[in-house]
Amino acid sequence: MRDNLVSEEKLQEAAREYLLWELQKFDAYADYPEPEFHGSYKLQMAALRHDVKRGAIKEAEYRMGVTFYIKRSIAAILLVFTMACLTMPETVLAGYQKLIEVIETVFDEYTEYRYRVNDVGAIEEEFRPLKLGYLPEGMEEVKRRERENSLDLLYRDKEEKYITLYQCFVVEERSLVFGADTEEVEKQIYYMQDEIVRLNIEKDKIKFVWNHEHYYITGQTNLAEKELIELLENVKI
Amino acid sequence: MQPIRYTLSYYLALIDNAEDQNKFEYLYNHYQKQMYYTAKRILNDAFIAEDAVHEAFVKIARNMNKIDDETSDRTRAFVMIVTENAAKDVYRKRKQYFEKEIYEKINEDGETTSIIDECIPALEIPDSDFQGSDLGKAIGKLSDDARQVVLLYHGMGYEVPEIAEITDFTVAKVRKLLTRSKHTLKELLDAMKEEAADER
Repeated sequence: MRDNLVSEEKLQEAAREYLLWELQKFDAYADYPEPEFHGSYKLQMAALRHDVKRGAIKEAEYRMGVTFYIKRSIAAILLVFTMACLTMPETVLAGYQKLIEVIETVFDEYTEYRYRVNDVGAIEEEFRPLKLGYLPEGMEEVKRRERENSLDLLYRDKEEKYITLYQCFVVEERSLVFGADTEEVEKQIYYMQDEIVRLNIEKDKIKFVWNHEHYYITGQTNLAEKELIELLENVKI
Repeated sequence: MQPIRYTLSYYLALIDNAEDQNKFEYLYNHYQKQMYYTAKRILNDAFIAEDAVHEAFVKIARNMNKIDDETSDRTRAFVMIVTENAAKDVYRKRKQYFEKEIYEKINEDGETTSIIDECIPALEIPDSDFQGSDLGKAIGKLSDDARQVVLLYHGMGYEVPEIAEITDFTVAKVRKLLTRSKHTLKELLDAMKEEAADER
């Protein structure tokens, strides 16, 4: 049986032949058009620069003619599209760093915000459901669903103004996805509590995404933008 | 793809010595587009392809010891295979996530609806249309894992432990794939001969 197997020499020759054929296809891509880098990356770079300004990350030594950034106290690399976990309690930061990678991908119909957590150290913390420090007059909680690592809320008033909130614990190596329709949508970014809140403002509603510490909070409302911001500014965890 | 100074810096910080950094910079500047289209061909999705290319660059940066000449066929094969694997990994992780977690939200009517409303484009790994030698065609019919291992070992002369690092397989798996592939290739060649005889 062994004698009938393909010889090493023939195998090498054929493998090389096949590989060179595959490499031709690989090389041919060099003549393809330059891919467009999607615009949301620029927003994230703006957020990165904001982080530098406020001291959450610092410039590392100038090397090879290029400046780059490292997270304070560890030589971790800021991955592409990474936004540093912007505010964390000192007790969590001590000896531990977490990079929360946010990838915002814009499709034709909706935007996908993908969160992936790369744990450098361990975190032991129970899920702390958010509380609202401010609620527009007349609004009340009509629905609540609490799970081990998530919270779903719905508030409504008599005039059909509503807000839904979804809070989720971003832990371990997993990605979370939130999709929001982006056709005819105005996008706004707010810096709140030194963090970024993204709003997708449509004709009749606003969708929002907020990466707060190691939670991600999202939701939808038909409240005015100003009221939504006031509500979010007074969220407590 | 716009050259992104921040991104290159991140990868360079993973590499210890200046010589390897120079080599990496060459790879980054010369193969980024090819890597992108390779990943996009597999993933059928431009945005996730960018993610896969990033993963591939991180992998390459951590394996610069396998690169002698950054312009050689051997290096380009290494870059190509790392990119293909990164694309498949990215796809697998996303699929696992969607299959494991279904997030629901309460909409404005108080009803529960699923957030997951999009499809993940399926992986596009077309059958090989290689037209060279019969043995080459048989190599094209091997499973992805087996073919990569055969190409890296027999085609480019990488050692088993190196192949294990490149592909994230265990050494035992690499050895097994190499051994089994020989038998599989023999069977495939026999089948091709029979087919050719039947056609006559």
